[in-house]
Amino acid sequence: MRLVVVLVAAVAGGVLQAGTLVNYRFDDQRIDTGPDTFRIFEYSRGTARLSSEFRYSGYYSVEIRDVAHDGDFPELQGYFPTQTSGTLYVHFAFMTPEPLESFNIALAGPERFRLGKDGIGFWLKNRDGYLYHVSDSIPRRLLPIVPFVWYKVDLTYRVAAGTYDLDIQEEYTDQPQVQLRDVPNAARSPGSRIDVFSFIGDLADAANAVIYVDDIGIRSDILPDPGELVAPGRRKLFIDYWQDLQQAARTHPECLPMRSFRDLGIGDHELSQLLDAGDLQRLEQALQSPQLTAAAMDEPASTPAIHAAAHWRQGCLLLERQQPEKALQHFRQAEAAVPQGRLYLISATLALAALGEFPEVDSRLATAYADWYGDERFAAAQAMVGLARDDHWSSEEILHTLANDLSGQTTAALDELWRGELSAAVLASLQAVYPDAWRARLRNRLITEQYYFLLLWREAYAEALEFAERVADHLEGQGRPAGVWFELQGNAAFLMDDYSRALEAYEAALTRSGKHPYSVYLKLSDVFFRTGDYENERYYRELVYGSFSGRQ
Amino acid sequence: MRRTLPVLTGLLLFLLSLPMARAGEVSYGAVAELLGPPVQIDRLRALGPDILPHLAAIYGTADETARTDIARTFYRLGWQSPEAYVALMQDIHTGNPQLRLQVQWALGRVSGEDEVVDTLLEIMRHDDNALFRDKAACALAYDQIHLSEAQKVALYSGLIDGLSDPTPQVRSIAIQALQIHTGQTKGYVATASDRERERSIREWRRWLDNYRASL
Repeated sequence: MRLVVVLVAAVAGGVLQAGTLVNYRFDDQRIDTGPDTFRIFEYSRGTARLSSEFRYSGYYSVEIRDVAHDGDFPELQGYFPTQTSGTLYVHFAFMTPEPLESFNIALAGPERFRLGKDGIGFWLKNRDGYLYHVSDSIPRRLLPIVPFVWYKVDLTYRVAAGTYDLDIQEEYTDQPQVQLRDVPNAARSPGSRIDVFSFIGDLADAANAVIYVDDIGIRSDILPDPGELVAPGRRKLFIDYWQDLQQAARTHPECLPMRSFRDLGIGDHELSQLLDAGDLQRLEQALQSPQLTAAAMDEPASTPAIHAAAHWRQGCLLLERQQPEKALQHFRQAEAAVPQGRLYLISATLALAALGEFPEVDSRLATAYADWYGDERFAAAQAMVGLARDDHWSSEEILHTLANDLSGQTTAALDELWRGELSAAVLASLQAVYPDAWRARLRNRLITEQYYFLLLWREAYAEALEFAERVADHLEGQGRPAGVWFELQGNAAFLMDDYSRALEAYEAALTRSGKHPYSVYLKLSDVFFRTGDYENERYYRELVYGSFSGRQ
Repeated sequence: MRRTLPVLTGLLLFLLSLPMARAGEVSYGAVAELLGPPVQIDRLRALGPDILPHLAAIYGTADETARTDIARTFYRLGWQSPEAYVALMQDIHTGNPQLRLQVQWALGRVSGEDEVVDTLLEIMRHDDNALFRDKAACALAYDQIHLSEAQKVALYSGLIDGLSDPTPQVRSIAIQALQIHTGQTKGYVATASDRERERSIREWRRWLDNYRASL
């Protein structure tokens, strides 16, 4: 049942309630970058800054200034919950002193800034001094742009129909100069999802564009309640995401929640095909409604995505009911139908773990490792595997095995195994060097992490912290990088509310390894938020999400 | 009249905020040095488009291996250059596959000449080598970055013509390129029956008429 709730939220967009998704006037304190607000990219010499020189209302606007041929473009990119249906009401104002220099304004979905399903839904751009919108993949001229004049844009965007109305009005005029009704969206793509807006310079990096933007507002008549921000720029701290998963499946392996269709191996092309064939709704039904699953499982091979999703859904129900053998049969059918569905692979791995088939579990985890690293769902999967595997492990036993593994003659394959991310290539290298012992060595590597996550899962945070410290000592004693184990120390300390210890560990993770710095930056930002050090909170968050140039 | 004052004030503020123009010239030797190997692309980019005539001149005297690297450099820079266009066109039919592919990819990133699209369409439709046909379609899909809207109509027209090609691979790469440009297939499947394909091609032609009319 919990899984159904997660899936409904993921697929259908969650609780329905009208409201505001985005509201930035740039005059108040709500200008914090973050995963749930917006991000600023200032590559090369381009800049994005608050400007009091020109503004549509209030005291500030955002100035985005591009520099031609500097290798990239600056961008203001904002995020809101994915809209899969309903109508969006979008408002913003823009002005440019340089109408001949190209810039772009877009609303897009999970496939980001490309034409196609779930890619760009709405696109304004200027070329040769004229403003264009792209509809049905055709740029259509709207009006000549007057320098230094603000334009107010009002867009009514219907997600399911893939159409929009567009009004554009110059300041100091009484009537809109542009009034379009019910035109196809950018790629004539009904049902194309939307979750991001963007104001950028020239995509070809050939223009010195300058654009001022103000009063960005997006409302939805069917709003997945985004909730309040709990910290600047975000609705949850990383630790909250972990605890959500921890509460979802504490006692035995269960399916990980689906976050996007890509988890099911359904990319842009496949989604378009499903839509064209009228099958998208059937896919969603297969994921949401158990009573439809049996029918969907019998789908002919011509709709492998629905076939696989239905088997996965059924397998998850069986895994939840602790029938892993039957669940595995369904997961294997899902894998066979859509081999690129990474959620199918990890679900089968969890079922195998529940069945005690650990040699296959280890190989599968090693193969999946690089693809999943950094996703807290994978940490949860590792904890669940550890939970299933637990044969009265102790820290001493694991550390003894670790010490033995690292004390002999070292090889490049062994170094790679312990350095960080696993992959199919690392696995192949290990098999070549240790044809008889590769399984044992892989197991030793994996159970070290699994044991740590298992301790966290069981809320044995102090023990997890001590274990991570000792693993780090062992690795460093052997001259191997141990940065990730400092990060894991930080996580355990954070869960214990020992923020000074967490801070020390995260800082050590940065200096000792330099790997995955963004994940450490975000955790440091969370630690500083919890300790009330808002200056450092902002510093580390803005290392990831950017900031307005010159902001004090 | 109400608009005059804010416009003039805005113009003055904007002129004051313009960055200083970059001065200085780039020497042939400096460019040659940065070509390595390895090619130091970031440092070349930092020197700006003034390097392009030098790069084209070096290309003209280099061996095939070096020309392959320079073609890749033109590609990565993505700057328009008549000199680079002339130099690269010399090798568009070379028998060296590595060089040939780099040239096919780079041409559309150094030039918006009609001949680039025409040549790549010709390769996509009629080259004996399926790899070159495929990569010409890739170049037509991703790398024609300097075309005007009118030139894009010519490009799309050529791709739509490719949907009727007797060779299934050509039809397949033509629709892939169209889909990359537009995000649409209009129901076209390269392996469908003649009748089904014709129906979709008619839709594409109507779309192209709309595109042309929007110019």
